[in-house]
Amino acid sequence: MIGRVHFGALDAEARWREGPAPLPAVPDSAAERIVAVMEEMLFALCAPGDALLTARPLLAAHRQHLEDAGWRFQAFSADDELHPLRGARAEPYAVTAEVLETCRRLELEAAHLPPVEVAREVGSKLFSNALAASLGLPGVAKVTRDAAGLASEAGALLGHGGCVVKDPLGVSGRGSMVIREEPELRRLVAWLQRRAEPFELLVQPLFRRAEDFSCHLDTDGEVVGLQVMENDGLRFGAVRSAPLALRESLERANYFEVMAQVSGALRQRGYRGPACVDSMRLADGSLVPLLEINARRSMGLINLAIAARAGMPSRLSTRPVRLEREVGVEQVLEALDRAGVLARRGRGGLLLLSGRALAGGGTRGRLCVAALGEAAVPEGAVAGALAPLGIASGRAADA
Amino acid sequence: MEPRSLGELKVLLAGVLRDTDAAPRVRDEDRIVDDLGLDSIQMISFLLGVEDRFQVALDFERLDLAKLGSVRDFASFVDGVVAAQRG
Repeated sequence: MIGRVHFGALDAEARWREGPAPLPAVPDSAAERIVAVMEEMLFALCAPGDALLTARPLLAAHRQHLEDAGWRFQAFSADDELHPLRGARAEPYAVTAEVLETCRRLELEAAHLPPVEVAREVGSKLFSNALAASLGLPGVAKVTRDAAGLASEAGALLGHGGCVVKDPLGVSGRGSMVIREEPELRRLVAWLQRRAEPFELLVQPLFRRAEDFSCHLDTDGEVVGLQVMENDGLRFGAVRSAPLALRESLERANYFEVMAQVSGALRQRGYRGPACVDSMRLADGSLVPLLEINARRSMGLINLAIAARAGMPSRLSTRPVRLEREVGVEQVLEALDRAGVLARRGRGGLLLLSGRALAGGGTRGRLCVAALGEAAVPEGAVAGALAPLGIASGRAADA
Repeated sequence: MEPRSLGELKVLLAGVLRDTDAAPRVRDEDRIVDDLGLDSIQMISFLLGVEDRFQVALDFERLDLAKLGSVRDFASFVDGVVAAQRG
């Protein structure tokens, strides 16, 4: 008897979008292939008796690695006979039309899931921005719906360090533009005028941030944990277990009272499901408690689950890598094991979270790992283990 | 023959990478995504800069980040767009 089934694509915001993206976007077929297989990471949310459902089966060497590290769960792929899942409670990454169709087709228990329209609405930055404004919180963005308005709102911020222009359904690494100089703004305004499509964009000051962190709410709206986010500009870099000192400082700043108000607003709107609230501490020590709401599961929630299961702190990262030649996940695991950095049951180290993402984009891939334990896994040891296999960092700045 | 836009594209790439001294180090054969490591946000800034500098309109949605190829390949592509749109 399977209690719960974890599944669903990680690119929820793209699936929620109904019209064209309001900011210029270049399709990236390699990145799309990588993100598609990163659903494997949802194994981390499986409790005993739960199942993971993915489009393609987990690679055997990866599955064995997870078992060696203490993660046991039932795994199904689209190729399998799926009737054992009938009646199991659906625990999707996000509520999308595709997810509800899977629930219907597999006869999963789905009555607890909110409507797609509600998830889409509260997952939009327009909702979180309006909520921040109604709560009188700092950091509220201006919403603009025409090119002249964008030129005016963003132009006013250029003399004050610049701004970030955000797509309401943009996600980390896509759907935002930092504008520091007038030519950048002029080019974007020209593009929007030329395209002549209706749009909504948020214009926010470019904050001098000291620390990004996130607060995770469960389906009942209760706080389940905090995560420190290590972003690289506007891109997701990593999340890690938050130190006790962060929680204590946030308690003193009444941060959790704001989170209770956010939770209440989500429930009032009819959203029942997990959420991740992104927050920021600025260089002057002040807080922007509500930057955006991710109305879905998240990398931070996955990392919270990993740390809880392992009984030790965890740092989850999804690092782009370049591959000079074809490489198998078993070779990668052997190399990491030889370097002494692989996690084993009860022993810290690296836990590989997706086997297929590693070479998911041909010459590009993503190394999705959780580093378990107090002692950080040395970056040099990982790079040194992977270099002989022709795997290198995928960012010029990291090379 | 060297594409006409090659040198200016290297300057634009250096600007997007926020390393104004990088232009001479960008090699013709460097792949824009795999070697220079431009992400999707930097790519948009780069392409808007290309549109502005060469006074052309690029159809972003018909491009594919995974297939942009080398700096030289892209310069040849830009030369073609310039020729087609300026006549």
